[in-house]
Amino acid sequence: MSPIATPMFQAAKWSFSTRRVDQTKAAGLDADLTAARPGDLILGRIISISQHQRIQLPSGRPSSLYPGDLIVMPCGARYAPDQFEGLAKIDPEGCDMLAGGGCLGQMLSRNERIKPPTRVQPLGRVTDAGGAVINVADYAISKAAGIASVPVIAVLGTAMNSGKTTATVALSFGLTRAGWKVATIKATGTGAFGDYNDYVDTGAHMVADFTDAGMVTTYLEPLSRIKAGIADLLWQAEVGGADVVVMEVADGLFQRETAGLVADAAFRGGLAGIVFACGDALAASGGVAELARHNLRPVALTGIVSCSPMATLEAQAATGVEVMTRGQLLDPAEANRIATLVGAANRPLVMA
Amino acid sequence: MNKLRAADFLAESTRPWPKASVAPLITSIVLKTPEGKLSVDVMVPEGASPDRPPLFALHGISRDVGALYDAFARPAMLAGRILVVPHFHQSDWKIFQRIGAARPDKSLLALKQVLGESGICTSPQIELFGYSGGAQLAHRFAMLYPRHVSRLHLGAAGWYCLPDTTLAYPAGLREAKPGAAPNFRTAKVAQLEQFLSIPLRVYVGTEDTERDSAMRKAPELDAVQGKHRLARATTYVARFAAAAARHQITPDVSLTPLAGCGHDFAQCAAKADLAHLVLS
Repeated sequence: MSPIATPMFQAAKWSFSTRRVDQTKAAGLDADLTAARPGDLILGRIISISQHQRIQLPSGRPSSLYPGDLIVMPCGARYAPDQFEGLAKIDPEGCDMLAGGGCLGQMLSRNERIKPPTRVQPLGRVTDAGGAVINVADYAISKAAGIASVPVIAVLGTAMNSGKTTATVALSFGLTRAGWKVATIKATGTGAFGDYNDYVDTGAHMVADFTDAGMVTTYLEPLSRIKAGIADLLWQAEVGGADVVVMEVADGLFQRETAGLVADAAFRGGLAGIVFACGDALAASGGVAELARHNLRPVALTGIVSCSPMATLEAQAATGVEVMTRGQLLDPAEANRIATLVGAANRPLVMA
Repeated sequence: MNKLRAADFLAESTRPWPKASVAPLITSIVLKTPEGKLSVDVMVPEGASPDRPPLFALHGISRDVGALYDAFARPAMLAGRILVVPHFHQSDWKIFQRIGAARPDKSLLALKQVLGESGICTSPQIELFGYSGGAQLAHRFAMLYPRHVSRLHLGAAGWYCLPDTTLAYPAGLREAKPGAAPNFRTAKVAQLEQFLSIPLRVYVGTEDTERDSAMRKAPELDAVQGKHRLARATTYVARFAAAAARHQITPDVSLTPLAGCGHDFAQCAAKADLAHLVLS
């Protein structure tokens, strides 16, 4: 460990995915970057700006980046078909900013339509005064003390940008307006404030994501750890008094972690209902069929498909599942119906 | 007197205080929502618990909130109950009795939220009374949001959405025709058991048998619900109890005839003590 002046940590721009970390505990640097594990905090200096021109701060605002800026970001992998795939590996010669919310690693591939990643010179792993490397998991919420019984409405989808977050936000808002104490949770994905802030804006009783459970990203994490993180988040929702959970599961059904969760009987057993987001009728049909393979049937379809009355009719005809628009999910009466259909209505009403 | 005036939507009410040794807090709320404006009289008796469901009293198409307030204020104060009397203005609410194109339910939810946020009333539930058109809205609101309603009081509604899935919507809960325009039928069907579990009190004048111009008249309604409000209230109570039984729910329902009363809230209040019946 080499000592470092505290002002460097104070000058650095810390990313949103470090939001739970007590920055005052940063006291030194560990130079063994090749030993970096997912979640380890890395102090780095911006070499060149490319795809990500801004970093998301814990305060919830983006900050423009300039060459020479100091940043603190966790090491993490990234799964984003419209951006990068990357691994949680830190090359001492230079690493890649894989996500603006905080994810440093090594890019494997990128979408043709985007620029190469912003490059970062890693200076070391951030340690506490005792020399221990600080990891976001050190600041995770407490472990579940039991199995939560709060009803969970999962929002799944065909892929990125199929409308999952829009649906999650709209349903959370509708339920909140209908008097439910809603916990809005993102179960998987990469830490970023966009979805998180959208959740908060609904007035939800509680908002949390996998970062709160100690993971900067769930990509390539063991399924057991992801499930444990979800259990911790649901337990927090339960002890926090939520009477329904709206839980977004990132990416599509075929994405590694999502597929693993859907195939997991215990995960499926914890769901009260599913809202499925998709882009068109064919995607709806394929998604419903894939879910049926796991004995799951969504209570409603939504997403891009719901924007088109014609596609809606086709999807409903093909699947027999109702298609709901964003406007319907926002509506307290309709959201109330969804909660009832998934069996949440028997829980006592508490003041939102 | 009005410690709640810090918020600009609150103003001193012009309503008189009920005769009492300790003055209640009386305030008016002007609530502007995308659905329309509500003016709301709120009376908070001294010592009233904010955790106890307030009584929301909904007017009919005469929109005579004064009569409602006059009838309910004193018994509510003596009972230590918070009284909330919203006024759906004609200018914004040509229709407030039904939930469809007009969304009075959203405004009532917003009002409930405002009462909670301002600390006036934090109860998650309300006790809901409506007279005539107000009773129409009250039972439709309760069907959509049954968890919100601790007790439902219906006074002389013109017609009802019967909790019967064999009758076409909106007089019943069966889909009127495949592909019908979006409505809240399915939401009501989904929550039918919760709705049927709400204690229901129905009141109607024994002389409320005129088919006046304000009453909805249609052969199908006449055939199923009856030709006047007295008959329709009787039908409703019977259908509610039968529907509850079908769902293995023991209904808590009663029909109270108001002796010598016609279709006139003030008369029901003065002659049959309707407000006391509701609050007892």
